Amino acid sequence: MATSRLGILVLAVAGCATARSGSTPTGAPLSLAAPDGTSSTLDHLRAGHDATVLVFWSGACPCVRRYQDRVDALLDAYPSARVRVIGVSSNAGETHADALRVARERQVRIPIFRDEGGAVARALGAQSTPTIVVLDASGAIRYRGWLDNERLPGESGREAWLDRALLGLLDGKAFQSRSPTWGCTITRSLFESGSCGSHPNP
Amino acid sequence: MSFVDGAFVDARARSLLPCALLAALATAPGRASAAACCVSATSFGVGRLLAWEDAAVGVQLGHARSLGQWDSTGSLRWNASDFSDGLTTAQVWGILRVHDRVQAQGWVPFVVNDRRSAGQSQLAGGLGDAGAAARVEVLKIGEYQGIPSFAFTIGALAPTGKRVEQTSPPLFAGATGRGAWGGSLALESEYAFLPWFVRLDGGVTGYLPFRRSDTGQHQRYGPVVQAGLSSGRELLPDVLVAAVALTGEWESSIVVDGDAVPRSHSRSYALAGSLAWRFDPRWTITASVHNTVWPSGANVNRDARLGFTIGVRRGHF
Repeated sequence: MATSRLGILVLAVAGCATARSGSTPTGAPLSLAAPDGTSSTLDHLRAGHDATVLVFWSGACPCVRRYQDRVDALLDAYPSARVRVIGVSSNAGETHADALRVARERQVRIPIFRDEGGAVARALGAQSTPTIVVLDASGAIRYRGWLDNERLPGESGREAWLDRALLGLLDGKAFQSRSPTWGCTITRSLFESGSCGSHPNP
Repeated sequence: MSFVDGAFVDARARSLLPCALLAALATAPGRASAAACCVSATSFGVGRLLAWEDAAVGVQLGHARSLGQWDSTGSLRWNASDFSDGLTTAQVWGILRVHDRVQAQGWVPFVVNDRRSAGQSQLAGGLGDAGAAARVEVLKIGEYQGIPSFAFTIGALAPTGKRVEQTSPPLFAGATGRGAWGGSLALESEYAFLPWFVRLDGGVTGYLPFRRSDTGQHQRYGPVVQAGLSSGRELLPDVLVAAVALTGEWESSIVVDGDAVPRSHSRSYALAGSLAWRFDPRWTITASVHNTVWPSGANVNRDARLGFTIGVRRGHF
Protein backbone atom coordinates (compact mmCIF):
# COMPACT_ATOMS: atom_id res chain seq x y z
CA MET A 1 0.00 0.00 0.00
CA ALA A 2 2.99 2.28 0.57
CA THR A 3 3.76 2.11 -3.11
CA SER A 4 0.20 3.00 -3.91
CA ARG A 5 0.30 6.02 -1.66
CA LEU A 6 3.51 7.20 -3.23
CA GLY A 7 1.88 6.83 -6.61
CA ILE A 8 -1.06 8.85 -5.45
CA LEU A 9 1.19 11.62 -4.21
CA VAL A 10 2.98 11.71 -7.51
CA LEU A 11 -0.20 11.66 -9.50
CA ALA A 12 -2.24 13.91 -7.26
CA VAL A 13 -3.28 17.06 -8.95
CA ALA A 14 -5.92 19.49 -7.86
CA GLY A 15 -8.83 18.36 -9.95
CA CYS A 16 -7.76 20.42 -12.91
CA ALA A 17 -8.46 17.87 -15.61
CA THR A 18 -9.45 19.25 -18.94
CA ALA A 19 -9.70 16.15 -21.10
CA ARG A 20 -13.09 16.02 -22.79
CA SER A 21 -14.99 12.80 -22.94
CA GLY A 22 -17.89 13.21 -25.27
CA SER A 23 -16.43 11.89 -28.46
CA THR A 24 -14.08 9.32 -29.88
CA PRO A 25 -10.66 10.29 -31.25
CA THR A 26 -12.33 10.55 -34.66
CA GLY A 27 -14.90 12.97 -33.33
CA ALA A 28 -17.87 10.62 -33.34
CA PRO A 29 -20.09 10.99 -30.27
CA LEU A 30 -19.71 8.32 -27.62
CA SER A 31 -22.88 6.35 -27.11
CA LEU A 32 -24.15 3.78 -24.67
CA ALA A 33 -27.07 1.39 -24.83
CA ALA A 34 -29.47 1.79 -21.93
CA PRO A 35 -30.91 -1.19 -20.07
CA ASP A 36 -34.09 -0.81 -22.15
CA GLY A 37 -32.06 -1.07 -25.33
CA THR A 38 -32.30 2.56 -26.38
CA SER A 39 -29.12 4.36 -27.31
CA SER A 40 -27.90 7.55 -25.67
CA THR A 41 -24.84 9.65 -26.16
CA LEU A 42 -22.56 10.19 -23.22
CA ASP A 43 -23.20 13.92 -23.52
CA HIS A 44 -26.93 13.30 -23.23
CA LEU A 45 -26.51 11.04 -20.19
CA ARG A 46 -24.51 13.56 -18.25
CA ALA A 47 -26.58 16.59 -19.27
CA GLY A 48 -27.96 18.46 -16.26
CA HIS A 49 -25.74 16.73 -13.74
CA ASP A 50 -22.82 18.26 -11.92
CA ALA A 51 -21.10 14.90 -11.88
CA THR A 52 -21.55 11.67 -13.80
CA VAL A 53 -20.00 8.58 -12.27
CA LEU A 54 -19.27 5.77 -14.71
CA VAL A 55 -18.49 2.47 -13.04
CA PHE A 56 -16.90 0.10 -15.53
CA TRP A 57 -18.67 -3.11 -14.77
CA SER A 58 -18.44 -6.79 -15.55
CA GLY A 59 -20.57 -9.65 -14.42
CA ALA A 60 -17.51 -11.91 -14.38
CA CYS A 61 -15.14 -9.82 -12.28
CA PRO A 62 -14.82 -10.73 -8.59
CA CYS A 63 -13.70 -7.19 -7.74
CA VAL A 64 -16.90 -5.77 -9.22
CA ARG A 65 -18.93 -8.19 -7.15
CA ARG A 66 -17.11 -7.30 -3.94
CA TYR A 67 -17.60 -3.60 -4.51
CA GLN A 68 -21.19 -3.70 -5.66
CA ASP A 69 -22.73 -2.68 -2.33
CA ARG A 70 -20.48 0.34 -2.07
CA VAL A 71 -21.20 1.28 -5.66
CA ASP A 72 -24.93 0.96 -5.12
CA ALA A 73 -24.61 3.07 -1.97
CA LEU A 74 -23.51 5.98 -4.14
CA LEU A 75 -27.13 6.26 -5.25
CA ASP A 76 -28.12 7.09 -1.67
CA ALA A 77 -25.09 9.14 -0.76
CA TYR A 78 -25.46 11.81 -3.42
CA PRO A 79 -28.51 13.65 -4.74
CA SER A 80 -29.54 12.11 -8.01
CA ALA A 81 -30.25 15.53 -9.44
CA ARG A 82 -26.58 16.43 -9.14
CA VAL A 83 -24.79 13.10 -9.42
CA ARG A 84 -25.66 10.41 -11.90
CA VAL A 85 -24.23 6.92 -11.35
CA ILE A 86 -24.26 4.33 -14.11
CA GLY A 87 -22.56 1.03 -14.73
CA VAL A 88 -20.82 0.53 -18.06
CA SER A 89 -20.33 -2.92 -19.51
CA SER A 90 -17.46 -2.73 -22.01
CA ASN A 91 -16.17 -6.30 -22.16
CA ALA A 92 -16.11 -7.55 -25.73
CA GLY A 93 -17.04 -11.02 -24.63
CA GLU A 94 -20.01 -10.01 -22.51
CA THR A 95 -23.34 -9.17 -24.10
CA HIS A 96 -25.68 -6.59 -22.69
CA ALA A 97 -28.18 -9.34 -21.99
CA ASP A 98 -25.57 -11.27 -20.00
CA ALA A 99 -24.64 -8.21 -17.99
CA LEU A 100 -28.26 -7.35 -17.27
CA ARG A 101 -29.04 -10.91 -16.27
CA VAL A 102 -26.16 -11.01 -13.79
CA ALA A 103 -27.10 -7.57 -12.49
CA ARG A 104 -30.67 -8.72 -11.92
CA GLU A 105 -29.52 -11.88 -10.16
CA ARG A 106 -27.36 -9.82 -7.82
CA GLN A 107 -30.00 -7.16 -7.37
CA VAL A 108 -27.63 -4.50 -8.61
CA ARG A 109 -29.23 -1.08 -8.24
CA ILE A 110 -27.20 1.02 -10.65
CA PRO A 111 -28.36 0.87 -14.27
CA ILE A 112 -26.03 -1.10 -16.50
CA PHE A 113 -25.39 0.50 -19.86
CA ARG A 114 -23.64 -1.26 -22.70
CA ASP A 115 -20.51 0.13 -24.29
CA GLU A 116 -20.60 -1.86 -27.51
CA GLY A 117 -17.15 -1.97 -29.04
CA GLY A 118 -15.56 -0.54 -25.92
CA ALA A 119 -15.28 2.98 -27.35
CA VAL A 120 -16.28 4.64 -24.09
CA ALA A 121 -13.75 2.62 -22.08
CA ARG A 122 -11.01 3.52 -24.52
CA ALA A 123 -11.94 7.17 -24.64
CA LEU A 124 -12.04 7.43 -20.86
CA GLY A 125 -8.92 5.37 -20.28
CA ALA A 126 -10.63 2.55 -18.40
CA GLN A 127 -8.68 -0.67 -18.79
CA SER A 128 -10.06 -2.75 -15.96
CA THR A 129 -13.17 -3.28 -13.88
CA PRO A 130 -14.30 -1.75 -11.60
CA THR A 131 -12.50 1.41 -12.72
CA ILE A 132 -14.53 4.52 -11.95
CA VAL A 133 -14.50 7.68 -14.07
CA VAL A 134 -16.14 10.93 -13.02
CA LEU A 135 -17.17 13.51 -15.57
CA ASP A 136 -18.09 17.05 -14.66
CA ALA A 137 -20.91 19.08 -16.13
CA SER A 138 -18.81 20.02 -19.12
CA GLY A 139 -17.87 16.43 -19.84
CA ALA A 140 -14.31 16.76 -18.63
CA ILE A 141 -12.76 13.77 -16.92
CA ARG A 142 -12.25 14.81 -13.31
CA TYR A 143 -11.43 11.50 -11.65
CA ARG A 144 -10.29 8.10 -12.72
CA GLY A 145 -9.44 5.31 -10.36
CA TRP A 146 -10.95 3.02 -7.75
CA LEU A 147 -13.69 3.75 -5.31
CA ASP A 148 -11.26 3.65 -2.39
CA ASN A 149 -7.95 2.14 -1.40
CA GLU A 150 -9.41 -1.19 -0.37
CA ARG A 151 -9.28 -4.17 -2.61
CA LEU A 152 -11.38 -6.04 -0.12
CA PRO A 153 -14.15 -3.85 1.29
CA GLY A 154 -14.01 -3.64 5.04
CA GLU A 155 -10.28 -3.31 5.53
CA SER A 156 -9.00 -0.84 8.07
CA GLY A 157 -7.57 2.49 7.02
CA ARG A 158 -10.05 3.22 4.28
CA GLU A 159 -9.32 6.20 2.08
CA ALA A 160 -12.48 7.23 0.28
CA TRP A 161 -10.94 8.37 -2.97
CA LEU A 162 -14.12 8.64 -4.97
CA ASP A 163 -16.04 10.39 -2.20
CA ARG A 164 -13.27 12.94 -1.88
CA ALA A 165 -13.33 13.54 -5.61
CA LEU A 166 -17.10 13.88 -5.76
CA LEU A 167 -17.30 16.15 -2.73
CA GLY A 168 -14.45 18.21 -4.11
CA LEU A 169 -16.13 18.49 -7.47
CA LEU A 170 -19.52 19.41 -6.01
CA ASP A 171 -18.05 21.89 -3.54
CA GLY A 172 -15.50 23.37 -5.88
CA LYS A 173 -12.55 22.23 -3.81
CA ALA A 174 -9.28 20.62 -4.77
CA PHE A 175 -9.13 16.85 -4.92
CA GLN A 176 -6.96 14.07 -6.18
CA SER A 177 -7.94 13.26 -9.73
CA ARG A 178 -6.35 9.86 -10.13
CA SER A 179 -5.89 6.77 -8.03
CA PRO A 180 -4.49 3.33 -8.66
CA THR A 181 -6.68 0.73 -10.28
CA TRP A 182 -6.58 -3.02 -10.03
CA GLY A 183 -9.21 -5.51 -11.05
CA CYS A 184 -10.05 -7.47 -14.16
CA THR A 185 -8.82 -6.48 -17.59
CA ILE A 186 -11.55 -5.16 -19.86
CA THR A 187 -11.70 -7.52 -22.81
CA ARG A 188 -11.34 -5.75 -26.10
CA SER A 189 -11.94 -6.89 -29.64
CA LEU A 190 -9.15 -6.83 -32.17
CA PHE A 191 -11.70 -5.86 -34.75
CA GLU A 192 -13.28 -2.89 -33.04
CA SER A 193 -12.64 0.48 -34.61
CA GLY A 194 -10.08 2.62 -32.91
CA SER A 195 -8.77 -0.17 -30.73
CA CYS A 196 -5.47 1.63 -30.58
CA GLY A 197 -7.06 4.96 -29.74
CA SER A 198 -5.57 7.32 -27.23
CA HIS A 199 -6.42 7.28 -23.55
CA PRO A 200 -6.87 10.85 -22.35
CA ASN A 201 -5.25 11.48 -19.02
CA PRO A 202 -6.68 13.85 -16.49
CA MET B 1 1.84 -24.78 -13.38
CA SER B 2 5.13 -23.23 -14.17
CA PHE B 3 7.92 -25.02 -15.88
CA VAL B 4 10.54 -23.22 -13.90
CA ASP B 5 8.70 -24.07 -10.78
CA GLY B 6 10.66 -26.43 -8.63
CA ALA B 7 7.59 -28.40 -7.83
CA PHE B 8 7.05 -29.11 -11.47
CA VAL B 9 10.63 -30.06 -12.13
CA ASP B 10 10.87 -32.27 -9.12
CA ALA B 11 7.52 -33.86 -9.41
CA ARG B 12 8.11 -36.05 -12.36
CA ALA B 13 4.79 -37.38 -11.69
CA ARG B 14 1.49 -35.68 -11.96
CA SER B 15 -1.38 -37.80 -11.44
CA LEU B 16 -4.59 -39.24 -12.54
CA LEU B 17 -7.65 -37.29 -11.66
CA PRO B 18 -10.08 -39.26 -9.57
CA CYS B 19 -13.34 -40.13 -11.17
CA ALA B 20 -15.11 -38.05 -8.61
CA LEU B 21 -13.37 -34.96 -9.86
CA LEU B 22 -14.38 -35.66 -13.43
CA ALA B 23 -17.92 -36.16 -12.28
CA ALA B 24 -17.81 -32.84 -10.51
CA LEU B 25 -16.53 -31.17 -13.64
CA ALA B 26 -19.28 -32.61 -15.71
CA THR B 27 -22.11 -31.88 -13.38
CA ALA B 28 -21.15 -28.48 -12.02
CA PRO B 29 -23.53 -25.58 -12.62
CA GLY B 30 -23.14 -24.19 -16.08
CA ARG B 31 -23.59 -20.55 -15.26
CA ALA B 32 -20.73 -20.06 -12.89
CA SER B 33 -19.54 -16.51 -13.13
CA ALA B 34 -15.81 -16.61 -13.51
CA ALA B 35 -13.05 -14.14 -14.04
CA ALA B 36 -10.81 -14.92 -16.96
CA CYS B 37 -7.88 -13.40 -15.15
CA CYS B 38 -7.91 -15.72 -12.24
CA VAL B 39 -9.49 -19.08 -12.94
CA SER B 40 -6.23 -20.98 -13.43
CA ALA B 41 -3.94 -18.81 -11.31
CA THR B 42 -3.65 -21.17 -8.38
CA SER B 43 -4.29 -24.56 -9.95
CA PHE B 44 -0.75 -25.92 -10.28
CA GLY B 45 2.60 -25.10 -8.78
CA VAL B 46 3.53 -21.57 -7.80
CA GLY B 47 1.06 -20.17 -10.29
CA ARG B 48 0.64 -16.45 -10.66
CA LEU B 49 -0.88 -13.48 -8.93
CA LEU B 50 -4.55 -12.72 -9.07
CA ALA B 51 -5.43 -9.51 -10.84
CA TRP B 52 -5.80 -7.49 -7.65
CA GLU B 53 -2.81 -8.86 -5.76
CA ASP B 54 0.55 -7.23 -5.16
CA ALA B 55 2.22 -10.34 -3.82
CA ALA B 56 1.55 -13.85 -2.62
CA VAL B 57 3.36 -16.40 -0.52
CA GLY B 58 2.67 -20.03 0.04
CA VAL B 59 3.88 -23.39 1.09
CA GLN B 60 3.29 -26.72 -0.59
CA LEU B 61 3.69 -30.06 1.08
CA GLY B 62 3.93 -33.13 -1.04
CA HIS B 63 4.55 -36.80 -0.81
CA ALA B 64 5.07 -39.31 -3.56
CA ARG B 65 5.92 -42.96 -3.48
CA SER B 66 7.78 -44.91 -6.05
CA LEU B 67 5.86 -47.83 -7.42
CA GLY B 68 8.54 -48.90 -9.84
CA GLN B 69 11.22 -47.82 -12.25
CA TRP B 70 11.06 -47.08 -15.92
CA ASP B 71 14.27 -48.49 -17.39
CA SER B 72 16.22 -47.30 -20.42
CA THR B 73 14.12 -49.45 -22.74
CA GLY B 74 10.84 -48.05 -21.47
CA SER B 75 9.89 -51.10 -19.46
CA LEU B 76 8.23 -50.58 -16.14
CA ARG B 77 9.74 -52.71 -13.44
CA TRP B 78 7.64 -52.79 -10.33
CA ASN B 79 9.46 -52.41 -7.07
CA ALA B 80 10.35 -55.54 -5.16
CA SER B 81 8.44 -56.18 -1.99
CA ASP B 82 11.45 -55.28 0.12
CA PHE B 83 12.03 -51.97 -1.68
CA SER B 84 10.43 -48.72 -0.72
CA ASP B 85 11.19 -45.17 -1.87
CA GLY B 86 9.27 -42.13 -0.69
CA LEU B 87 9.80 -38.50 -1.53
CA THR B 88 8.46 -35.83 0.81
CA THR B 89 8.75 -32.19 -0.15
CA ALA B 90 7.98 -28.88 1.46
CA GLN B 91 8.31 -25.88 -0.77
CA VAL B 92 8.12 -22.27 0.30
CA TRP B 93 7.46 -19.80 -2.48
CA GLY B 94 6.62 -16.20 -3.13
CA ILE B 95 5.50 -13.98 -5.98
CA LEU B 96 5.91 -10.22 -6.17
CA ARG B 97 4.36 -7.91 -8.74
CA VAL B 98 7.05 -5.61 -10.03
CA HIS B 99 5.02 -4.20 -12.91
CA ASP B 100 1.50 -4.53 -14.20
CA ARG B 101 2.71 -7.28 -16.53
CA VAL B 102 5.79 -8.57 -14.71
CA GLN B 103 5.89 -10.84 -11.68
CA ALA B 104 8.98 -12.10 -9.87
CA GLN B 105 8.84 -15.57 -8.36
CA GLY B 106 11.07 -17.47 -6.01
CA TRP B 107 10.89 -20.89 -4.38
CA VAL B 108 12.91 -22.91 -1.91
CA PRO B 109 12.20 -26.63 -1.65
CA PHE B 110 13.10 -28.95 1.17
CA VAL B 111 13.29 -32.61 0.31
CA VAL B 112 13.28 -35.74 2.44
CA ASN B 113 13.78 -39.23 1.02
CA ASP B 114 12.86 -42.34 2.90
CA ARG B 115 14.28 -45.48 1.39
CA ARG B 116 14.34 -49.12 2.27
CA SER B 117 15.97 -51.91 0.35
CA ALA B 118 17.24 -55.37 1.14
CA GLY B 119 16.97 -54.94 4.85
CA GLN B 120 18.58 -51.52 4.91
CA SER B 121 16.83 -48.23 5.38
CA GLN B 122 17.79 -44.59 5.28
CA LEU B 123 16.03 -41.30 5.90
CA ALA B 124 17.81 -38.14 4.78
CA GLY B 125 17.18 -34.86 3.09
CA GLY B 126 17.76 -31.18 3.08
CA LEU B 127 17.54 -28.16 0.89
CA GLY B 128 16.58 -28.79 -2.72
CA ASP B 129 17.36 -26.68 -5.76
CA ALA B 130 16.09 -23.17 -5.09
CA GLY B 131 14.96 -21.07 -7.99
CA ALA B 132 13.81 -17.68 -9.09
CA ALA B 133 12.05 -16.44 -12.20
CA ALA B 134 10.45 -13.48 -13.83
CA ARG B 135 7.12 -13.92 -15.57
CA VAL B 136 6.16 -11.44 -18.26
CA GLU B 137 2.59 -11.18 -19.53
CA VAL B 138 2.68 -10.09 -23.13
CA LEU B 139 -1.04 -10.61 -23.63
CA LYS B 140 -3.17 -10.90 -20.53
CA ILE B 141 -5.89 -13.45 -20.24
CA GLY B 142 -9.07 -11.92 -21.60
CA GLU B 143 -7.33 -8.84 -22.91
CA TYR B 144 -8.61 -9.43 -26.43
CA GLN B 145 -11.69 -11.36 -27.32
CA GLY B 146 -10.87 -14.68 -28.94
CA ILE B 147 -7.14 -14.25 -28.48
CA PRO B 148 -5.35 -16.46 -25.95
CA SER B 149 -3.00 -14.97 -23.45
CA PHE B 150 0.71 -15.20 -23.93
CA ALA B 151 3.39 -15.01 -21.28
CA PHE B 152 6.97 -16.07 -20.94
CA THR B 153 9.02 -16.87 -17.89
CA ILE B 154 12.76 -16.67 -17.55
CA GLY B 155 14.17 -18.51 -14.59
CA ALA B 156 17.29 -19.68 -12.84
CA LEU B 157 17.96 -22.66 -10.61
CA ALA B 158 20.64 -22.59 -7.95
CA PRO B 159 22.73 -25.67 -7.06
CA THR B 160 21.47 -25.73 -3.52
CA GLY B 161 20.37 -29.33 -3.71
CA LYS B 162 22.65 -32.32 -3.25
CA ARG B 163 23.49 -34.67 -6.06
CA VAL B 164 23.66 -38.40 -5.53
CA GLU B 165 27.45 -38.50 -5.36
CA GLN B 166 27.39 -35.86 -2.65
CA THR B 167 25.36 -38.07 -0.36
CA SER B 168 26.10 -41.01 1.83
CA PRO B 169 25.45 -44.73 1.45
CA PRO B 170 23.84 -47.10 1.91
CA LEU B 171 20.88 -45.80 -0.09
CA PHE B 172 21.97 -42.25 -0.94
CA ALA B 173 18.75 -40.88 0.43
CA GLY B 174 20.29 -37.46 0.91
CA ALA B 175 19.97 -36.57 -2.77
CA THR B 176 17.73 -33.51 -2.88
CA GLY B 177 18.26 -32.02 -6.32
CA ARG B 178 20.46 -31.70 -9.32
CA GLY B 179 22.99 -29.50 -7.63
CA ALA B 180 23.81 -27.60 -10.81
CA TRP B 181 23.14 -24.10 -11.99
CA GLY B 182 20.29 -24.03 -14.42
CA GLY B 183 18.46 -21.57 -16.62
CA SER B 184 15.04 -21.89 -18.15
CA LEU B 185 12.70 -20.29 -20.60
CA ALA B 186 9.03 -21.16 -20.54
CA LEU B 187 6.16 -20.01 -22.70
CA GLU B 188 2.52 -20.24 -21.79
CA SER B 189 -0.70 -19.50 -23.54
CA GLU B 190 -4.16 -19.70 -22.07
CA TYR B 191 -7.64 -19.26 -23.36
CA ALA B 192 -10.63 -18.80 -21.11
CA PHE B 193 -14.14 -19.58 -22.24
CA LEU B 194 -15.72 -18.98 -18.93
CA PRO B 195 -16.00 -20.78 -16.66
CA TRP B 196 -13.54 -23.05 -18.44
CA PHE B 197 -9.92 -22.51 -19.30
CA VAL B 198 -7.42 -24.39 -21.41
CA ARG B 199 -3.73 -23.77 -21.21
CA LEU B 200 -0.64 -24.79 -23.14
CA ASP B 201 2.84 -24.64 -21.66
CA GLY B 202 6.23 -25.29 -23.13
CA GLY B 203 9.71 -24.73 -21.85
CA VAL B 204 13.33 -25.72 -21.81
CA THR B 205 15.79 -25.90 -18.96
CA GLY B 206 19.53 -26.05 -19.47
CA TYR B 207 22.22 -26.78 -16.90
CA LEU B 208 25.80 -25.67 -16.49
CA PRO B 209 28.48 -28.32 -16.08
CA PHE B 210 29.88 -29.16 -12.68
CA ARG B 211 32.73 -31.20 -11.34
CA ARG B 212 31.74 -34.43 -9.64
CA SER B 213 33.08 -34.63 -6.14
CA ASP B 214 33.68 -38.37 -6.34
CA THR B 215 35.43 -38.80 -9.69
CA GLY B 216 36.57 -35.28 -10.51
CA GLN B 217 34.91 -35.56 -13.91
CA HIS B 218 33.00 -32.73 -15.53
CA GLN B 219 29.37 -33.64 -15.84
CA ARG B 220 26.52 -31.85 -17.48
CA TYR B 221 22.85 -32.70 -17.43
CA GLY B 222 21.20 -32.69 -20.79
CA PRO B 223 18.68 -29.98 -21.57
CA VAL B 224 15.18 -30.74 -20.43
CA VAL B 225 12.23 -29.93 -22.65
CA GLN B 226 8.86 -29.70 -21.01
CA ALA B 227 5.34 -29.36 -22.35
CA GLY B 228 1.96 -29.39 -20.74
CA LEU B 229 -1.69 -29.14 -21.56
CA SER B 230 -4.10 -28.30 -18.79
CA SER B 231 -7.73 -27.46 -18.51
CA GLY B 232 -10.20 -26.76 -15.78
CA ARG B 233 -13.26 -24.94 -14.73
CA GLU B 234 -14.53 -22.82 -11.94
CA LEU B 235 -17.02 -24.87 -9.98
CA LEU B 236 -17.98 -22.12 -7.55
CA PRO B 237 -17.53 -18.53 -8.69
CA ASP B 238 -14.32 -17.04 -7.36
CA VAL B 239 -14.05 -19.89 -4.85
CA LEU B 240 -13.40 -23.36 -6.25
CA VAL B 241 -11.51 -24.40 -9.36
CA ALA B 242 -10.83 -27.94 -10.58
CA ALA B 243 -8.21 -28.68 -13.18
CA VAL B 244 -6.38 -31.50 -14.91
CA ALA B 245 -3.00 -31.43 -16.60
CA LEU B 246 -1.08 -33.71 -18.89
CA THR B 247 2.62 -32.98 -18.93
CA GLY B 248 5.62 -34.36 -20.68
CA GLU B 249 9.30 -34.03 -20.00
CA TRP B 250 12.16 -35.07 -22.23
CA GLU B 251 15.74 -34.96 -21.05
CA SER B 252 18.81 -35.49 -23.19
CA SER B 253 21.68 -37.71 -22.18
CA ILE B 254 24.09 -36.78 -19.44
CA VAL B 255 27.48 -35.68 -20.71
CA VAL B 256 30.60 -36.65 -18.75
CA ASP B 257 33.95 -35.20 -19.82
CA GLY B 258 32.49 -34.40 -23.20
CA ASP B 259 30.99 -37.81 -23.89
CA ALA B 260 27.30 -38.55 -23.77
CA VAL B 261 26.51 -41.37 -21.40
CA PRO B 262 24.66 -44.08 -23.35
CA ARG B 263 21.03 -44.64 -22.50
CA SER B 264 21.00 -41.85 -19.90
CA HIS B 265 18.26 -39.86 -21.59
CA SER B 266 14.87 -39.90 -19.99
CA ARG B 267 11.24 -39.32 -20.82
CA SER B 268 8.28 -38.90 -18.57
CA TYR B 269 4.59 -38.25 -18.99
CA ALA B 270 2.45 -37.35 -16.06
CA LEU B 271 -1.20 -36.74 -15.36
CA ALA B 272 -2.35 -34.50 -12.56
CA GLY B 273 -5.56 -33.23 -11.10
CA SER B 274 -6.02 -30.34 -8.75
CA LEU B 275 -8.52 -28.44 -6.69
CA ALA B 276 -8.00 -24.85 -5.58
CA TRP B 277 -10.33 -23.55 -2.91
CA ARG B 278 -10.22 -19.82 -2.19
CA PHE B 279 -12.10 -19.88 1.08
CA ASP B 280 -11.17 -16.28 1.78
CA PRO B 281 -10.23 -13.55 -0.72
CA ARG B 282 -6.69 -13.76 0.61
CA TRP B 283 -6.37 -17.45 1.35
CA THR B 284 -6.39 -20.43 -0.97
CA ILE B 285 -5.94 -24.09 -0.20
CA THR B 286 -4.72 -26.28 -3.02
CA ALA B 287 -4.59 -30.01 -3.40
CA SER B 288 -3.38 -32.14 -6.25
CA VAL B 289 -2.68 -35.75 -7.12
CA HIS B 290 -0.16 -36.84 -9.69
CA ASN B 291 0.86 -40.00 -11.39
CA THR B 292 3.51 -41.32 -13.76
CA VAL B 293 2.37 -44.90 -13.92
CA TRP B 294 1.53 -45.81 -17.50
CA PRO B 295 1.57 -48.86 -19.72
CA SER B 296 5.06 -50.04 -20.61
CA GLY B 297 6.90 -47.99 -23.18
CA ALA B 298 5.63 -44.61 -22.10
CA ASN B 299 8.39 -43.40 -19.83
CA VAL B 300 12.13 -43.95 -19.83
CA ASN B 301 14.69 -43.82 -17.02
CA ARG B 302 12.39 -42.31 -14.46
CA ASP B 303 10.63 -43.36 -11.32
CA ALA B 304 7.02 -44.40 -11.61
CA ARG B 305 5.43 -42.42 -8.82
CA LEU B 306 2.08 -41.71 -7.34
CA GLY B 307 1.75 -38.73 -5.08
CA PHE B 308 -0.14 -35.77 -3.83
CA THR B 309 0.44 -32.21 -2.72
CA ILE B 310 -1.44 -29.89 -0.45
CA GLY B 311 -0.70 -26.24 -0.17
CA VAL B 312 -1.81 -23.00 1.31
CA ARG B 313 -1.47 -19.65 -0.36
CA ARG B 314 -1.91 -16.15 0.97
CA GLY B 315 -2.34 -13.23 -1.36
CA HIS B 316 -1.38 -9.72 -0.32
CA PHE B 317 -3.29 -6.72 -1.58
